[in-house]
Amino acid sequence: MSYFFIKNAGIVLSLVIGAATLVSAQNKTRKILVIGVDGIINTAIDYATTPGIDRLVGNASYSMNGYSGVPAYASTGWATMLTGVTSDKHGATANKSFAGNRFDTYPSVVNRIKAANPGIRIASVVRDKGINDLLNSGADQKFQFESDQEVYGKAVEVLKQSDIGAVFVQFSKPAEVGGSLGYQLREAQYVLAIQEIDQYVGQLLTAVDSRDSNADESWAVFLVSSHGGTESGVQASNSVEEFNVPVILSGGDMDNKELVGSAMAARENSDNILTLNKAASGEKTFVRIPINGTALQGMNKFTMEMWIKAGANSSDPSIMGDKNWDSGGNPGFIICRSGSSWKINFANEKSERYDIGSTRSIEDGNWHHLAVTFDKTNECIVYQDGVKMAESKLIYKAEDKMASPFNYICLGQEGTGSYGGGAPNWAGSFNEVRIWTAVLSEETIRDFMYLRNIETSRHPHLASLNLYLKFDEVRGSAIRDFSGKGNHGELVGPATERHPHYPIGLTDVAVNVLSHLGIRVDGAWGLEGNMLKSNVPFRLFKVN
Amino acid sequence: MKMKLTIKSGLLLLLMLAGLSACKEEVFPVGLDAEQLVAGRLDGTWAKPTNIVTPDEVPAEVFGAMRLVFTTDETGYPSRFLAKDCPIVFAGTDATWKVTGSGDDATVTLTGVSPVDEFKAKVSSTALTLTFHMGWENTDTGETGQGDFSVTLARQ
Repeated sequence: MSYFFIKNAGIVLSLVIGAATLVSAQNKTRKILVIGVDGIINTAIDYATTPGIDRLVGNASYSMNGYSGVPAYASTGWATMLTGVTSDKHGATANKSFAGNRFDTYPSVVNRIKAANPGIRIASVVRDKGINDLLNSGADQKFQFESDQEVYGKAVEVLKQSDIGAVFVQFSKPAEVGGSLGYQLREAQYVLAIQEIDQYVGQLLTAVDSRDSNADESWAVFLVSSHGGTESGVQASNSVEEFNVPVILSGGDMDNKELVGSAMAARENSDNILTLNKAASGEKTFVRIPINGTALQGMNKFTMEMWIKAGANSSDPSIMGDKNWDSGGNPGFIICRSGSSWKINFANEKSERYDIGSTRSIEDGNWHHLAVTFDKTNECIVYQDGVKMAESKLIYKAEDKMASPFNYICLGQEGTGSYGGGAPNWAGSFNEVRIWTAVLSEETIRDFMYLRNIETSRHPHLASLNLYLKFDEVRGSAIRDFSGKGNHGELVGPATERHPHYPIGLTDVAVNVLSHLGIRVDGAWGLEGNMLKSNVPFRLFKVN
Repeated sequence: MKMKLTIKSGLLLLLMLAGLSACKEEVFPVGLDAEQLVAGRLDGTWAKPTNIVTPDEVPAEVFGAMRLVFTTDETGYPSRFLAKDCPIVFAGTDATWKVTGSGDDATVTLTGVSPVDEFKAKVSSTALTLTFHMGWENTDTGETGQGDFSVTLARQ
C-alpha cells in the first residue's frame, strides 16, 4: 500500500515537474545563433579535439554527413544555408561571388525574419562582405572583418546585448588553411584550424549561457560547414569530400540524436532514394517502366546513368535491363552485377552480343554513379563515378535491330521480370536514373551527375531526356518520370524502403531557424528544407 | 574395470537426474490466456518505420523515427510501454499497455501516452504493423482532416 502510494506520488510529482518545464519552455523568449564555418570536412570533428563542439552535439540533431549542395563553394553554401533553397533556385553558383543570384525571389532568412517580425534584432558578423550586402542586408547590425579572431570578438560583444534575437557568424580559417595545404587530417595546420574554431564555438556557447536573461531565453545554436574540401586542396566543387559536411542543429525543440538517412522515413519535397530488398518470401521486387512504342524501345543511341548503392547480392542479377537475361545473345540490353563490379550486355536480333564492364567494385557500401553511352554504329563507353572504365568499337549496321521483344525496362530485374540469377532480384538502392536518346560526352556526364532537378537545369541535351526517375516519392507504387515524356514507372513487389539520400543539408538550416523563432513558412516561398521531426507542424487528435 | 563402470553409470545417472530436473524447470506453462499469448509476441523492441501510410495531406514524418518497447511482467502480462522519437503519435515516453485479440488482429490499449492511446496491431516474429484512425491538424495552416495511419516496425 505504502509502495503504491509512493509510486503514484512519484508519478504525480513527475507530471507536475514535466508540466512546469513545458510551460516554462513555452514562455521563454526564443533566440538563435547560427555559426557557419567555411571548410570543415565531414571527418574533422571526430578526429580533432573539440570539446566546444561536443557540448553542442550533446544537445543536437546532427549529422557529420550532411549535404552542402553543388557546386561546393563557400558562396554557394552560404546562399543555400540562408535562402533555404538549392543553387538551381538561388542562382549563386560562382566561386567567391554571388553573381547571378536570385535573392530577390529567394531572400535570406534574415530578411524573412525581419519581414515577419521586425522587432527581432539581428546581427550578422562575417568575413565575406557579400553576405552582409546581398543576403543579410536586413540585419540591424552588420560587421565584416579580415580575421576569425575579430569575428569572434565582435560576436561575443553582440551576444551580450540584452535585446539581440538572432546572430549570424561566419568563420573561414579552415578553408583558408585547407585551400593552401589541403583539407586533410594529416595536416597539423588544418587540424589546428578546426580546434581554433572549436574554441570560438565553446566560448560563444559560454557567452550565451552567461547572458543576464539566459534563464528566460530558449536559445538554438546551429553550427554548419558551408563546404568541405579535397585532400589536395584543389577545388573540384562537386566531389563527395567537398559536399559532405557537418550540420549540427542544437537546442530548441529538436530531437537530440544523430541523424542517419537509412533510419529516417522519406521526406516530402526532398531528395529521396528507393531501396529494393530481397523479400524473404522469394517474391520479386522491382520497378518496371512500360516502353512499348516509346523512344526507349530499341534505342540506336543512348546514355544511361544512375546512382546506385549495392546491397548484398550474388550471381549476375540485373540492375537495369529490358531483355531476357537467360541468354546474353537475346536482343536488348542489361546492366548487371559482374563479380563485385558491373557490366553492360547488349545484343541485336542476330544474337551479336557485347559485354563491356567496369573494373571497379560497386559493392563497397558506397554510392556509385554508373553511366553507359551507346552509339550502335560507332562505340560503347562505360563510366563509373565520372571516370571512363572501358570502351569498345561496335560493328552493328544501321539496319540492325536492338529492340527486346519485352515491353518493359526494369530496375532490379530484367525485361521479363522473372530472372532467377541472384534471386529474387538485385538488392540495392537507386537514385536519379536517367536515360537520354543521345550520346553524352564524358565532360557533360561529369558536370551534371551530381545535379538534381535536371529537367530545369541548363543541361545541353534536355530534348533527348526520355526517362528521369528521381525516386522522391514517399509512398505508393507509382514512380514518376520527370523527363516530360510520360514514361512513368510502377513499383512491383513487397520489399522496398524509402529514405532521404542525405539525412540533413544546408537547405534545412533556414526552415529550422524560422521554425525556432515561431515564424510560419509560407508554401509559396518554395523553401526546400525540412523541419526536424519534433518540428513537423502536425498534431493528431482523437475522432469518434 | 567394475569400478570404472560403476563410476561411469553413476555419472550417467547423475546427468539424467540433472536433465530431468532441468526439464522440470522448463516445463512449458499451460493455461496461458489470450492476453498473455499476444503480449508474448509483442514483447520486445520495435523500430525502423517502413510502409508508412498517412492521409494524403499528412507527411510520413509524423511517425518520426518511431521506436517502441513493450515489456511484460513476470507472469507474461503486459507491463510497460515506452515510445521514443515519435512525439506526434505517442507523446509521453513511459506508459502501460493492455492487449486483446490475436497476433493477426490485436487491439493494444495504452495508458499514459497521447494522442494515440489505442491501435490495431498485427504482429509476426519479425514485423509489427500498427494501424489507427485519427484526426489531424496542420498547425501552420490550420487545415484539419481525419484518416487512417499505418506503420510497420521491425523487431530489434
